Amino acid sequence: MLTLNNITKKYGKITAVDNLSLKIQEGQIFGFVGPNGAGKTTTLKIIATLLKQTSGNIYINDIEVSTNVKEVRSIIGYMPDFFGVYDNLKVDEYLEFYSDLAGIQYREAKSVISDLLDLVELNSKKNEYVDSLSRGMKQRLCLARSLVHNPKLLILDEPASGMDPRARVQMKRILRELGKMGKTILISSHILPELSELCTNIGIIEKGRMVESGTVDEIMKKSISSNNVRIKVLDSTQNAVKLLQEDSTITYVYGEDNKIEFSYQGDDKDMVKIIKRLVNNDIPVVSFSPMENNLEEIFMKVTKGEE
Amino acid sequence: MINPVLKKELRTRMRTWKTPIIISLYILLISGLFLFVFMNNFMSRGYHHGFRPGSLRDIYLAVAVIQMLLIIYIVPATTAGSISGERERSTFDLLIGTRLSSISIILGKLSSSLVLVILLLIVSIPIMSILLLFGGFSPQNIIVLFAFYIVNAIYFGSIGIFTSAFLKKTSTSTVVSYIIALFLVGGTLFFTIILRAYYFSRIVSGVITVQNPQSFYPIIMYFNPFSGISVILENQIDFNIFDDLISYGTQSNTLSPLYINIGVSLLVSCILLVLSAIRINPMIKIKNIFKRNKLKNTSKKV
Repeated sequence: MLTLNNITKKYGKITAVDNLSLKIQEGQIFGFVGPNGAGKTTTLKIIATLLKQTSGNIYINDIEVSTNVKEVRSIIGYMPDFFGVYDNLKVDEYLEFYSDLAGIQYREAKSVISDLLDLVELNSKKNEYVDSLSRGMKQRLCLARSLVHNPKLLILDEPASGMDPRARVQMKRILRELGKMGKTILISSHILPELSELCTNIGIIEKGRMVESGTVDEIMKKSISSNNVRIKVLDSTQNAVKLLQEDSTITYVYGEDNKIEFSYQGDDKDMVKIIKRLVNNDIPVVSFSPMENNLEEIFMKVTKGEE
Repeated sequence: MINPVLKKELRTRMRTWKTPIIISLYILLISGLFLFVFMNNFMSRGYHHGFRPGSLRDIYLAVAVIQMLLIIYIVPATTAGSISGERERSTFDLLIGTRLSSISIILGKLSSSLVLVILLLIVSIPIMSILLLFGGFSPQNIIVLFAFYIVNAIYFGSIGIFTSAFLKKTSTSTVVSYIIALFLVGGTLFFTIILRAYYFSRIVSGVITVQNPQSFYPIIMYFNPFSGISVILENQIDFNIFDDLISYGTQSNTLSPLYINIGVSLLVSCILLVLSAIRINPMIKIKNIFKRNKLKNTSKKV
């Protein structure tokens, strides 16, 4: 669906995107993650034909982007991270304007607008002025705007930024719905736990370079070399910590109150051995559970956090 | 299908107080001027006081010139924020990323300004019809005058759009477009006077000898909208607004300066609109066009 081949974007001496390559298959929901100034927005703008790359090629559905701008614009929908609205336009008129720009006939546009307002749960607001809507509503309206021409690829730059938790949940629900409709979605966000729930694939970018990409599970496996376990003991926390520290497979131990967290290298058999050893040494283990590696931890490990 | 940008602009513009205020002030000014000149003639204490249809010629002249000045004043104000305003509102990316071509966006913005001018001309028709009824003017006279106003609305509208496309802030764009408009009206006239004085001083001192000294008509004057309107008024009411200041040059047809002025205005407008369209197109950089041409020329030489 989308292929980026060695994309570079330079602003004078500054390189915003450095030799970035990426492939997104049809129907994927691709999460684009990176610290501020990593080049996410620049990359998304290049894909959305709003910036021209210094070098490299982009193909959407095998169409070369820079030479087929009009054709490409009809199959992509773009939602920027920050956008304004027109004063004195009502919600339905706002969508009507963008459907006019997309060349949709008036009658068809009417039903499309009604369907989209249903999707983004704004049908009750259709006669209100856009300027009077809340931030979350404006974000949803902008999402509806990017869908007026029924694009195959959706490019969403921080669609949930500045939203309250309820609005974020609503946005997530809408995006899931769009995923079910078969839309290919490229989404950049800072809210990593939500991205890991939503996305099929993740790409981590830093200083304009792709440092990691793949399915969420692949990245988890690649980035985390050790397993994390949390155990609860009845007492003897210090003894347990001492025992665990003596084990050569254990790389990290931390104990407080009756809870101990540790990391070990190995498989499930090694885990059994560790627990067995604790029990044999009269440590009263109440429970133990593996700790899930989350995207935030991976992100912190993979990126250096320099701006 | 109507240009979507024009449709949206009309919808949003007509909902603000700004448009009715502009229209009201425009009618107020034109009718105030009409009344002032009319009363001045009608109430004059001279021997020929009372209503004289001939005095309507003065009213026609005053209304024609003031309407021209008002258009030059209003049009840049309505176009100078057309693109920079989109940038300031952060709606530019959403607009430019659509299937509509950048030239269509530019033309939509220009035509919305033209619609306002047409509206202003329409509301001035009742005043103009008094001149038609009592002043001996033909509808043709008014149509020619209105057509010339529209040409100039395109001319000054293009300047506003051009500055708006190239400058980031609406305030800067408005100031720059007014400076350009002021130069085109006053600056070109000033330079013409200076050049003319210099030209005549050379004739008087015997440096140059010419058969018809009145033939002097500097090219710069063709950029001035008043060079065109002066010809229209000369033909319609036999009155030259520049009097002896500027002659019509060597043209055998006295209408030539008008045609050239219209041609120059439309040509400049086209150039400015195309440059503005290139400027707002994110996939084309003006710098790169020049670079490409330079490379082509160098490769040809090689």
